[in-house]
Amino acid sequence: MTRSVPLFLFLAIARSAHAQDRPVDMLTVVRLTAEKASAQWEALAKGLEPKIARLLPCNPTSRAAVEEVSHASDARLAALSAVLKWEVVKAKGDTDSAKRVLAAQAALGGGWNAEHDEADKQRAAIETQVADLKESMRKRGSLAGAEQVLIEIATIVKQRAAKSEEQAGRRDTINALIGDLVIAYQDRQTALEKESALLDVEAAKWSAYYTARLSRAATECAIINPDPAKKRKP
Amino acid sequence: MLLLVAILCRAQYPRDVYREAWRAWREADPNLEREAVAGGPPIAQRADRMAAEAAKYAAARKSFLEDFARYQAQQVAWLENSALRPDLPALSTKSDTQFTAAETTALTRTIDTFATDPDRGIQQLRQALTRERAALDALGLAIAERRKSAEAELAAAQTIEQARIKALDPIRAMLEAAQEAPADAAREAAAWAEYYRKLGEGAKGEATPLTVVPPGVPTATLNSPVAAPPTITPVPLTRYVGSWSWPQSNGLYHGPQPEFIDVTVQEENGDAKGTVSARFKLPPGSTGDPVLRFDFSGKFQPTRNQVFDLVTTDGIKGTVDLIPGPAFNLLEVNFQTEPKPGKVRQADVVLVKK
Repeated sequence: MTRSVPLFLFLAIARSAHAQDRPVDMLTVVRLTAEKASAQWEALAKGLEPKIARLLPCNPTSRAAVEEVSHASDARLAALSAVLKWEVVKAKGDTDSAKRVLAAQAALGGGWNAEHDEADKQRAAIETQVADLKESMRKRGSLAGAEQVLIEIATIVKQRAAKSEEQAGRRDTINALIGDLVIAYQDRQTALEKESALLDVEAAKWSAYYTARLSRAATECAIINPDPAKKRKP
Repeated sequence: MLLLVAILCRAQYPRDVYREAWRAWREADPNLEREAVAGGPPIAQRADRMAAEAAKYAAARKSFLEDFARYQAQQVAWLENSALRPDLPALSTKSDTQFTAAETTALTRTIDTFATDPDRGIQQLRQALTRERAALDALGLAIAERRKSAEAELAAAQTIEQARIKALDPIRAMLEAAQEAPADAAREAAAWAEYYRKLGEGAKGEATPLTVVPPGVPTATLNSPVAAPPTITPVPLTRYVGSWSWPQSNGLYHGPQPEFIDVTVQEENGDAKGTVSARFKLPPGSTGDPVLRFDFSGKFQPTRNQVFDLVTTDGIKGTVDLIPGPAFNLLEVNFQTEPKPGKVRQADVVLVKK
């Protein structure tokens, strides 16, 4: 029964989130819910012993108080489980995004390499143009103005090649850094998946603890009032 | 998956369009410069056609570079905005650990108190308390296990944050370069337009070689009919070596008009050394420096035109071409330097041997 609560809550939120396609917003919602549920349980758990200390063991209020804390614990753990499951969804998304950025950066680094190669080839082509034009200038000096502009273009293209080479040179560093980032995201995702599974195990232990606590309350009542049915008979 | 990513990346900014435009432009008229010597309207028309092809390439290239920068910006934006949220305090195992520890202590104390009590009811209660403590022990172990995973998650989150911040610097620098590239390409495109315009204009002009013999310059005659010693240059070294100056009248030039130019060229073991001292007539109102002095040096090459590196007295670098003229006593000197505000950076003059 207690396990169906978080699963139901998770599925309901998952459906809602899928419809809206905003897992991050849903994570905000489940985090707020979990904070509230945790605060409620903590207040009830701290107040339990002082509250029942003044009550007789068979007082129905005493058992109800333990049950109330137990329910609050279930609600808290269900909410925390939902948070972790959404954190896992988001972590997986982050890992995938980091992998995409890694692939994109590798492609962009290659793009700068291509820029450099192209600029070099273009410069060579322009130099041929300059040589041809210089030859024509031997007989037609009026082409000197064009030649000067062409030389300036060759300089611009040379600068472009240098810039591209500089950026292409960053490729290995960036790839290594984003590669580290991908590994860290994967590690975080794995840790969150494990934490989520362990929280579910922990929730079962909390449930077992409150069952034992209720069992103790029943025993205390039984010691004081061994057979209430018999006692009521004249 | 990686293949898909690669295809997606490629699809983000395809180069095919501008490359095709480049090919079309370069193949449209590969002999234009060589045939520009013919001059006249046909060359000007051909230059116009090339200008149109260059403009097509420039437009395609600009579009590509904008996509390239945009795609890069997306990656940077993700990195900038992917800071992790702080861990949820409710997920901390601290309060749970405190709770189980306090409860275990209280239970143990009660269990110990009842240890020697022979009452059957009390013993039943003691057993219940022991079961409760066992449940708490199991819970404590589960909490400790979860704490280990939570710590691993925290360590990974810290590594993520460090790697993310570290990666942002070079990736931002790369983005900056990508964002500047379209503007650089626009400047390049403007220069090409200017080039074809000047080529068209130059082709329309009269065919007057720079190295024509200026009127009034006497034809040089050899004083010694002895054959010149072999040199590395295809023409005798005396076509370059010696003192040269700007003629008093009818001098030929391109660029700023000289007032005077003195050039000295020396040769030693195949090495050239020279100095140039010049003063130019600058446009009225110009605040630029009309004086230019530079030294040049280098090895003579087995080519007609000799090109040497130059350094001006201001430390500006450039190159100078020494081109033997059509007459023995003429030398064309064509130099370019790095641009520096207020300085003459280019001139092409024909000098006469002193």
